[in-house]
Amino acid sequence: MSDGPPQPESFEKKPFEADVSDTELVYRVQSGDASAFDLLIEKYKGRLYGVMYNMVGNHEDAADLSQETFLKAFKSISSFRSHANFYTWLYRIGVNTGINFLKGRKEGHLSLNQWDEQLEDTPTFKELTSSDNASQNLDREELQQKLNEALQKLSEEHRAVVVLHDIEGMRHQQIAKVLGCTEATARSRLFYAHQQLQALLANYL
Amino acid sequence: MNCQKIRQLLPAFAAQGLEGSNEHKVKAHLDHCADCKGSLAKTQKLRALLALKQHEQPDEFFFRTYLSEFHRRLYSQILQKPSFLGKLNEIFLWNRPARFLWRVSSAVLMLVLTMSFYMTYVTAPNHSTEFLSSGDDTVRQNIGIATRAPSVVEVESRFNQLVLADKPSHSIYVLDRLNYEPSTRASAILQF
Repeated sequence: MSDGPPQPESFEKKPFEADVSDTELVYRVQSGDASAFDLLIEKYKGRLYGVMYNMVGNHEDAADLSQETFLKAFKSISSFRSHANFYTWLYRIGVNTGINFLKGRKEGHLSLNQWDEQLEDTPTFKELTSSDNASQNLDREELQQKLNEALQKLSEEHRAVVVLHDIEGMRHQQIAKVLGCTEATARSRLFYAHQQLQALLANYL
Repeated sequence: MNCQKIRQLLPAFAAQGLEGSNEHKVKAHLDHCADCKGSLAKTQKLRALLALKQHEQPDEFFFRTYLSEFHRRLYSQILQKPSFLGKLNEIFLWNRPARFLWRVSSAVLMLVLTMSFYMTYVTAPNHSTEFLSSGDDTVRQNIGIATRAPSVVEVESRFNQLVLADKPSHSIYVLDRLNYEPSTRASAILQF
């Protein structure tokens, strides 16, 4: 997964701050240095946006929800315990925000983000769009549409598990902490979600 | 381990997220179960398909204004501070432990209020019998309220004792109980 777009010109990072840990940054924020939170935003904005986009299926809501997540995290940063993992804590806020948003909205629309250049180098994409695969006759937009539609057909909790495990690469233990459930529950939800997705995407597997 | 349990572990196995004995069990099972091997292949293909979503990115200008947009929202929220109920609502929405604690504390508060009301109003002592129950057994015994009508001499004697003991309220009560008209000792009229 790419690390995200280049830094904005107005943002200047001191050389030593590139290696500052999350714990140190959170400590600085808790001590009153609000600018340290900007570094945390720069570090996690891409990944958090990605999670929200895959949860809600459209760019506008994903942008709004990711901003809301950072705002909630900033306002409750004083309650963050230093021995915990900031990344897990942030994702927990984000996923809960996303799930509550999805439960509150009646109908959503899908919007497709653009794919980066590395997509065409992936073996899976090559296989799906190769000329040998005549039965598929697949193009990028259609594949993207099918993937997004299949994800949106899952329930909010099942979608969250799939996004965190298969797209973000989190382990079951971390997923359980993010979702506030046991590891066995996370494993069970993922299994059920995979069963559903395999049925929905049978033509591409 | 049966196939059902093995298949539940396949997503983690495909992601190389299994450790220790579980990993060995899955490997051993896959060596002789073609169905589970087929399920693993499907799981791996599905994961590869989903991994394509990692390449989805927003417009290149989106993240350039991300930080300034965060600051704008933060300042506007500071200027519009939510009410107490608004803050409670925010905690309630995304903090599950707080939601549980809120329910428990509401239930405890209701219980305490109910008990207080019950003890204050429902089980309140009957003041009309307070004099009798609060240590005036000697009055009962002496006057015999429970068993027989006392004689005039007994009543007057007891009346004098109470007046001398400076218990005017008790003495009036005694007179009331025996249907005496409240008056001074000299002009007491017996009515039975």
